[in-house]
Amino acid sequence: MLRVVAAALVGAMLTAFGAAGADAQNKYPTRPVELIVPFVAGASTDAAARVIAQVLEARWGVPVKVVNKPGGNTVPAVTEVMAAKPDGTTLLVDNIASSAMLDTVVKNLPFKVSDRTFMGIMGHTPMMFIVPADSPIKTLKEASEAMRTGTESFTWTSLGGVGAQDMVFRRFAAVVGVDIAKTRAVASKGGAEAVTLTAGGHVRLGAGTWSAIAAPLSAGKLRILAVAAADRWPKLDVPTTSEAGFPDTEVSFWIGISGPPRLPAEIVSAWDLALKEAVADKAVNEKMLNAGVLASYQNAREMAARVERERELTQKLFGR
Amino acid sequence: MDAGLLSGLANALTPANIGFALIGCLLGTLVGILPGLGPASAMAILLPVSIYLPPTGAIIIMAGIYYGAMYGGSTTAILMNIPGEVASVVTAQDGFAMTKQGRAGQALAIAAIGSYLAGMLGTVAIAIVGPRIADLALHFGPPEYFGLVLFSMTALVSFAGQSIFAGLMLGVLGMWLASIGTDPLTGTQRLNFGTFELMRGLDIVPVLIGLFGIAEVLASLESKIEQIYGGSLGSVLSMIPRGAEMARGMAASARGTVIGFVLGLLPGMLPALTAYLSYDVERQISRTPDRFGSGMIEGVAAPEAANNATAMAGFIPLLSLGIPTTPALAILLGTLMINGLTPGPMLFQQQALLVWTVIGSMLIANTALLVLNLPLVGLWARISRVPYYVLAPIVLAVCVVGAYAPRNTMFDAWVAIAFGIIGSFLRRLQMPLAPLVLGFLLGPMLEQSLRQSIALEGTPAIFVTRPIPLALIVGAVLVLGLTLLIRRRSRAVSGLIRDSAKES
Repeated sequence: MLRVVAAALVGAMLTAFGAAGADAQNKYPTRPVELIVPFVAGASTDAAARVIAQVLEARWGVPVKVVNKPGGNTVPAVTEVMAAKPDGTTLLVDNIASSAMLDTVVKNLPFKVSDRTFMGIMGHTPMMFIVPADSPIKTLKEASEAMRTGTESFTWTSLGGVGAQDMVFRRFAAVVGVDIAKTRAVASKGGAEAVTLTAGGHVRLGAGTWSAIAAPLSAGKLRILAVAAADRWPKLDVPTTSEAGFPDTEVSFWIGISGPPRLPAEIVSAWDLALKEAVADKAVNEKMLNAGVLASYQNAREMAARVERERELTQKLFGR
Repeated sequence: MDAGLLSGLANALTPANIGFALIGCLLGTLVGILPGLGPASAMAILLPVSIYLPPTGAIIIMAGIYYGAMYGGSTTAILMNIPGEVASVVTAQDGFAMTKQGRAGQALAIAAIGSYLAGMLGTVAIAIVGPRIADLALHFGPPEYFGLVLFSMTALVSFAGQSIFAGLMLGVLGMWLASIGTDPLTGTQRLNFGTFELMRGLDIVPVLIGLFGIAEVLASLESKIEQIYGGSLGSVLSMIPRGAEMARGMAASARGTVIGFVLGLLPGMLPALTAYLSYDVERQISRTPDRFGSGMIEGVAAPEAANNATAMAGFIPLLSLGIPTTPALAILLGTLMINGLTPGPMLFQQQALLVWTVIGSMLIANTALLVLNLPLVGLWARISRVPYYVLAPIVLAVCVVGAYAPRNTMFDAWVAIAFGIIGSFLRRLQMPLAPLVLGFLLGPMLEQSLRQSIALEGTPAIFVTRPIPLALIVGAVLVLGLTLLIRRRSRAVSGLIRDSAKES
């Protein structure tokens, strides 16, 4: 009798363990998913991630949590995801700073940027050139003139080191034909601070993304000279940098999803489908626009190609 | 404009909005009490939920958490010398001293009352002056900041206690600790010994929890205290300060409110910093500066009022310009944007009811907080009598969790424990801890504003050509000179008194 009970127990345990294994073969996801954002809460990357998380939670019926792990040039957050189990429960909200620009910023990374599993891009927010509202500079051309004639005293906002902000200025300077090293870069800690510096009239030319610019713009403190993207920003009568006469200066801060290396193909395709459908949804587009991000979809292969392209551009621009 | 406030107040008094305000205040107070968990963390956790709420309700809750946390932070600071918020470090100085004298109730009461005064005056100021002074925030550039930070450094001397040298050394140590990690302006790595954890630098919260929370518990366990205060406490009513003491407390609160509010308009101005400055001002103008640190009611009232006033003032640049002055307000900005509301004059025009409802709910929330906190003063005060062997483990557990909370990393928990050990050593050596925190806060601000100013001008001349930085730097030198002079004179005077006592 005891033997029967013991066998039944062992059988039950084996089934339970077996079921746990079989669990992974069921449709992904069956367990809560954690999206790690390498920035503080409230910024556009975080806000866009939360919009997507909400949509996916409704779609998949499992909790999709956004966790913020800011600091250290995004390296700690990326390291954590690279070392996580490749079962789709820990993923990174990837962006240009934590991938394409990372190995130029940080030497001796414990991983290769291309090792991660790229899963898809869900949106982007372009850099925009801004000046204080009362500035004599009214167009991007005038700004380039100011830069050319008064190079040594030309102040602009930098985020120090390597980032989308500095990238757009370097590209602009290259097109204008000015050596960026001769100008006065005024470094600040974050995008919002850079915009505040510009709005207060402390620098001559600034740059930022929509989420930081929107409010001071509507308060009449800023003027946008141009949008560094291929298309104009919706509902805004501001030219693109190409239209303003400066091609090859497009820099966008894109946001996507990446996972640990060797993530199974079915997880990648589940995300691929989900992201594609989310980006096509009008309501999602609107919410992301509120967060200052344009919903746009690029699949895993396109994402990997984009990262490689931007990586080479970064290395060329930052001369390392 | 008056019509706006009245209709906003009426809207804020609807059951739903009152409910949101109460929930926000409760959460905020809870979050403020727990060391480590700050308003920013709570607001970040609540952000996804707020998407499901109506915009007005979402903003009311978030705002409630923000100033509720300022109320709650002082409770543990006063009762157990464990600041719940960075801003409460200053309150703990005299607050805890009062608790040890059995006057925890008075300290808690004046903290609540002072915070209430600051909240109400702040709301009125927002309603009346509001957007017009928002521009101040913009014109305060890097050179002006440098002047302000330099002026704030004179407070290091105030908090140094007996030995100015020790205070200054600890201030410098604080600055050095703050420089660990990534250089905020160029991204270079500093002092990270090759580890990725240190790349992020040290967060103020685990350091604070270690130095004040864990170290306090360790020190108390070492001295084998039975309870924090063993005597009798009296009734709740007796805990409300009265007469001359109340008058002094209210005066200090008023001064703290002004300082906190004016400075709170500037981006990057942390409530902690205005708390330090208002405490310093109280000490400077007091007739008995030496008694600060041993239970002066002004030392509790002023910083508490200041940090609340700063919290309120932060709403002005936020709502009129979309510029968040603290990280928690950045999350509130995110909430506004997600709900499709762009701050600015357009917000005041197109969404007037929403703005005035939020302002109206500030009045309600502050009143609710006073009503919540004042009767609880008796209950909280009795915690000082709980046997320490029960209190200590609970506090330690909460501290470790609180250290982990801000950045979701175990590294911070270890940092807190390490600083707990460092803190208990410093206590044994009778070293003051407040200058270390102040240095930690001021170091990055000093460095950033200095480097930005030089980048703007090319030469340090900018500090003397612009009026505000020049005034602040001169002021700092004067205050420093005055403080040192007074100390020398009072030491001479007390020396004379001692000598004459010996003679007779």
